Amino acid sequence: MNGNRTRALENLKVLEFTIGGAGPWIGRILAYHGATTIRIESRHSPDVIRTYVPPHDRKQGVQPDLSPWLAEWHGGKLHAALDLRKPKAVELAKRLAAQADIVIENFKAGTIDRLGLGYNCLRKLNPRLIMISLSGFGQTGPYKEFIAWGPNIESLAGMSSVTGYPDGPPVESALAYADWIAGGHGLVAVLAAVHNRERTGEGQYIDLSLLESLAATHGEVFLEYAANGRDPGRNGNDSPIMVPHDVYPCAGEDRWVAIAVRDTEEWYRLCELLDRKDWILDQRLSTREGRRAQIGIIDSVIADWSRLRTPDHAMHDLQTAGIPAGAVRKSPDLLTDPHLQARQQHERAPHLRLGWTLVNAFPGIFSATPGRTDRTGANLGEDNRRVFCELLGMDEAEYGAACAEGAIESSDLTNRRPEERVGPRGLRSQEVKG
Amino acid sequence: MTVEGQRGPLAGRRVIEMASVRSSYCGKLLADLGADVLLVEPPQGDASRRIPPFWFDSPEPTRSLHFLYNNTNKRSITLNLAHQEGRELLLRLATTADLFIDSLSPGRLHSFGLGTEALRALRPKLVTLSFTHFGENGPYRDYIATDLISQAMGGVLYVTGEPGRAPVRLSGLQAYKMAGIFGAADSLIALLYADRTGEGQHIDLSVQDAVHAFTSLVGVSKHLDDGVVPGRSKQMPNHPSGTYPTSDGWVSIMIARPKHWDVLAAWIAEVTGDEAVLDPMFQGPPINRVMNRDVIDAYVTAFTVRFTKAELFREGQQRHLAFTPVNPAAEVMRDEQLKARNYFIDVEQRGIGQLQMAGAPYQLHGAPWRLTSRVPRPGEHTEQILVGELGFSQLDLQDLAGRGVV
Repeated sequence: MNGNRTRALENLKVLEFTIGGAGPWIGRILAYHGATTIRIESRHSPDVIRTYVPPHDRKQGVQPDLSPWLAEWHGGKLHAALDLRKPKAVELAKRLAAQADIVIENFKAGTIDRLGLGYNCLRKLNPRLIMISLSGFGQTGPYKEFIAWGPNIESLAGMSSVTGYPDGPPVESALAYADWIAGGHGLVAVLAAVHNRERTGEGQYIDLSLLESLAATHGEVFLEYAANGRDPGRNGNDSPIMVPHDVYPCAGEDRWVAIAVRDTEEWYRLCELLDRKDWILDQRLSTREGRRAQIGIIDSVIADWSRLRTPDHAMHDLQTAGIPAGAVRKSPDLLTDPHLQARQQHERAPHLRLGWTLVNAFPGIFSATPGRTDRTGANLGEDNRRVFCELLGMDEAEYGAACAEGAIESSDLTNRRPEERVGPRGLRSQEVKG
Repeated sequence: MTVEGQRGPLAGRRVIEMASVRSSYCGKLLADLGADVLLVEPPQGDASRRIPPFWFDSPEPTRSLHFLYNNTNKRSITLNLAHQEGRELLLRLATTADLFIDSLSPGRLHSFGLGTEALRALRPKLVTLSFTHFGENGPYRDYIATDLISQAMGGVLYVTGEPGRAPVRLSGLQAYKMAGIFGAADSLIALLYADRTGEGQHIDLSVQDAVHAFTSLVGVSKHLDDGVVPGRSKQMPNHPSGTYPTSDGWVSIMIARPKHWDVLAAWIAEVTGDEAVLDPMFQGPPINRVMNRDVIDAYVTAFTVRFTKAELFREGQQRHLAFTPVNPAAEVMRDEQLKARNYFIDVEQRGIGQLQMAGAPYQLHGAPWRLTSRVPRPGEHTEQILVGELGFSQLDLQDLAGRGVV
């Protein structure tokens, strides 16, 4: 729908050496807004998401190009493959970096320097270069070489200690939350550096620690300790200012609605809706602390009401009465949520094997330069020729030699299954708007 | 990395932020990077100044810890938008800005005659960002929401918690943090485009959309391939994963590669003497462990309870295993790594004292991020901005104040 429109970042060239989620997200969003984004990978150290075995048919074995995460996190990028253990490959990577505005890497701290592609090398070739390294703990300090994944970072950043019920274990997100928080912050940092370069003409290096990035979204937690000497601990869904403030069971299995009462007016509306006008007259319940003292009985009356309704029905009734409420959406619900649909938050994007699939759009609807996903993530080395011959300008002889010595790695095409071109499995029997 | 006299990467950018609990982290990100962020508040101060807890439990407008953290480096001006002159002042401020963050409910600014198109008619390069719970179109546009409700509607709440219990939110107003990050990034993208072309534009950001974007690991595209509905049981594509009990707290473990499992299984067998954990059925690709979660968790728990979390952290990392302790706030603030990188920063708050705050989410080596300025009182900079920068006289100001405009 936005196929030919200008995008905001069409003038930027991005090169990424990435694995996992945090680094790839930056390149993904820059590409969504039009940047030419090249991802370098190697078959010698494959990204975990390329080891995807479809759970519905494990007999197929590893099927990288069916990985939903490859599709989602690497959409819009060009895929090139280099064996960076070979000098020729490092030379080619340097030539690409010399032309780039932004380099993104998220190997273990120090790895990119050992490969000869550290910022101090690349800046000599390209002083305007902006380079970001993302790692669990940053490039310096006693933990710099420690191993950690997204969920580990939640534990060290204080997040796990405040997430969950008071009588339960620390809860980790199912989202690899630290990766996306780091990727999002990294995107902000890179864009700020581009702004700085517009003014000063100089590039710079950005050292992003996932731990510091995630701790920054929990600043209030540390302030409570720093200011008042208290550890906030785990308090479920409780709010200091809203009572009730929780999720309540609905009709069906494991179905819920979230309800938040912000003030006395909303409390009276809730009493009306629950047909408990006697509570309006009860002075004790007109303050949030009064309601907190009686929360057990209040919760059970709300639950008796909500259990008779679906989440959408309950949300609608509550919102119509002027009470903040929201259906607790599970992943298939997100696909059919009428609001997300109206806002086109699932984008139909070309997929090399399936023909097309749906990926998440990125938040923020731009009036003049809407973003888009030109193609979902593709095979390792899929775009070698485009990257090295067209964009870098290698001639056939040099390209052929680099392929022959294995500096440029061949693509996955030998392993490629026939194209199915029938759309994602989950939608084949359904009518879906594209 | 701060170098004296150096300016932040966004120096010279002016941002008008209509104060709200939703957009405050977005404005903070921009302000801490050097943008001049003017917080526009109603005369009594923004409602987010009244969010507890408070510093020393004293409910004053500069002591809400939530407000203190999310409004660093901003200047505050109070305007009464119910007044025609208040609206005119806002319009005048907007003509000096690069970015206007409208966090009022959808259509409200327009009803004041200050729609984003009206603003851009006066200043074509202006980027406007509408920052609301549900965006400016769609059937739920006018629904009322909170952070919890945004986490519910964006798909995060359902997958967070323990199996068999009600979903639980990510604490610390994370829906607004997710949206704030996108608000800042989207604004910077549109500002770069405006610099290049002279063309401003409008961005319609919804908190629900932002939360939804963070679900991609367990979200729609995964469901489309495997048909699985992720719930609140452990569901990482790797195992072991999650928090496990220790003798003095909890440890977080993530085993992502086959060789890491081999090392852990050998360690468990060595400690517990139970060699069944070495069974080849658990070896190889992650799916072999994912399919045996409960059995594996029993082996891992029998092992972790024998150690303290510090022992497991040290010994695990020595074996290159992703073991980390679950640290509460006090321990995070004493963490050796964060100390070595000077992460927590002392900020002086006039008349109250000094407070240690979380520092930058990134270290920019070429241009500083800084937390130099404490949080403003409501309207603290009204005079500085109106008299010092927009050319009003002291008499004008007294007149405006007398009539309740500022």
